Amino acid sequence: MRIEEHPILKFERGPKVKFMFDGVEYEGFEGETIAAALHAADVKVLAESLFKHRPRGLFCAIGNCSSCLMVVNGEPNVRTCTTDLEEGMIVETQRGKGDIL
Amino acid sequence: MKTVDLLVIGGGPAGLCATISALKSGANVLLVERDKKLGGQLVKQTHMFFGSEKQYAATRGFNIGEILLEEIAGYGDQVEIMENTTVLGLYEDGVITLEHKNEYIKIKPKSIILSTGASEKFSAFPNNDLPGIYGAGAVQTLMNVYGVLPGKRALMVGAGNIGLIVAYQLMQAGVEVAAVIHHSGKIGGYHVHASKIQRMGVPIILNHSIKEAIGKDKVEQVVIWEMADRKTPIPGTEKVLDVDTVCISVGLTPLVDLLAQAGAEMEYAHGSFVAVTDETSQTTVPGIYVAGDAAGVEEASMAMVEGYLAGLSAANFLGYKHENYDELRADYLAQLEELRFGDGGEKKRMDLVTEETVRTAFPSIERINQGPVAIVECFQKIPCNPCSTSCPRNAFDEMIDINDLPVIDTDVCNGCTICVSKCPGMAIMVVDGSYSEDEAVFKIPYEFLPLPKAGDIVRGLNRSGEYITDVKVLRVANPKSFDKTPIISCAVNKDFLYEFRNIELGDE
Repeated sequence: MRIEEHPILKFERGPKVKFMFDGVEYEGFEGETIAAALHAADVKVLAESLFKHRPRGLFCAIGNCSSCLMVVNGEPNVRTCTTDLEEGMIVETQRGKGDIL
Repeated sequence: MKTVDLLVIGGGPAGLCATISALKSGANVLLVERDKKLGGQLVKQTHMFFGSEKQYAATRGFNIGEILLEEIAGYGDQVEIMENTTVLGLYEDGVITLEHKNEYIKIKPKSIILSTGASEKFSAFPNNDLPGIYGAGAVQTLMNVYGVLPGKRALMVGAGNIGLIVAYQLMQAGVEVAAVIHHSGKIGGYHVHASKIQRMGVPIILNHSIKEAIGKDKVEQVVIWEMADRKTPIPGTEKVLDVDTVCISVGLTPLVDLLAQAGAEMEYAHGSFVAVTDETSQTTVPGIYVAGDAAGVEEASMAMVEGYLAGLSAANFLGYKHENYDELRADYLAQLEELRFGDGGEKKRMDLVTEETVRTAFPSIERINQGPVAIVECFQKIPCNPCSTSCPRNAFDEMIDINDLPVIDTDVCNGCTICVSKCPGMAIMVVDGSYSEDEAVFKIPYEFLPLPKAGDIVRGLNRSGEYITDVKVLRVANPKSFDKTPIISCAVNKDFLYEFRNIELGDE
């Protein structure tokens, strides 16, 4: 959900961009992070823990904690809370450590 | 390899002020910031800051960020800014490595200021890893930077300043706050922040902790329970709350990895590892300085002053001694001492404000019936003075120490409401008992949408946010000078003179 009206702040959102998350098309705004766009669409599960496969979501939102690592355009371990959304991005739930090669 | 005079790592309040201060002294500065935008946590702070004019008191945090950035922009080529840049390592030979857009960069600065800030502490309870459980700062980022809501109904864990402020911001954004819980009997944050959310009807539940979170893929419920002595839960006191959002606000840890890597001597102080520093903010490694939360977690106003001090010192180390070096240094040290003296800085805690305490803020009924007068509900020594400095009639005693409690001469006050709009704690209202035989006019600050309109009948609330009586809105004053803290005038039955403090729209 997005805030439309706020007593103190004005949100100037960029143009709309389309991206894919786990095979489904979503919309977000240029200038926001991948995690913010997913949150706005009520997607809260971003990854799976390594061994017990528990759901992982956004925790710190400033690139400190590694809870939001996802696969973006084939690259694993991308901090989606600090990576800006781009048109046509392919975002996937990360399961496991991700391959380097 | 690139060489620079001074490298400032981290562009939050401390780093920005360090940069300004070093530039003023004549040094060249490279400021690197991990995020895509400078400002650090300032950009998310929608509340007005405490402190004095020197620390931009009564200005909203995000506006302070803009003011500092504008000042830096005035220095042109003397400063270089690299955003989206993470410092990877500090090496023995003085080389620093950076990552910028997947590029590996080496630089060699002659001096460094580390203003890397802090990270949020976590809390241990079953299922604390469920999505929907956030650091309180993360929720601030989501809401106030991206305009995205974390959920519909939230629990705040921890009643320090961050917990209390973010609880208020959640409500401003339209999220219901089920409660703020705190593990001990005395809250850690400023009482004025607590009062702001209590009068919106949010309970602050003391001596409670979170037992567990419940949910499949995300939080659906949490169980809280009572604590006997901060850490011993009392079985049988469990309460279940339906929430989809849990904000953890149980303190911060300084980000000191780079300092440790640089070989700076570290010590354990106030619950965290921090670098040992001298009176110029220099660590035990010559030329490496530290400022802000990285030097020990405090309020942003203190981080700014620490930044000014570190910038001044580092420039001096480089041979750029400011012409007023001694005066400036003495001033910064004096400001820090003042800011740290208050109850907030010294972590002196007090009980939540009671009705009896509130009553002491009111002058005699004769004075109230004479005409408009400010009622100042500020009972805790905190470093803040905008009420006394903004009054055009000098009705407040001058604060010798910025931590002094405000003292108002109600014979001089004419109820003009300027202090109401300036008080960062929203702790002042104006009452006019001369309005009519039965009704008094209350002028209260109100920062929520939708705003009422003159003529509306709205629900009058007490200091716990409970409905007491219907009140009539007479006027909504919202000039630019109030900076988005509108002041609502309402006619209230005098039976509720000492209870009324807030309004609520809607017909529930």
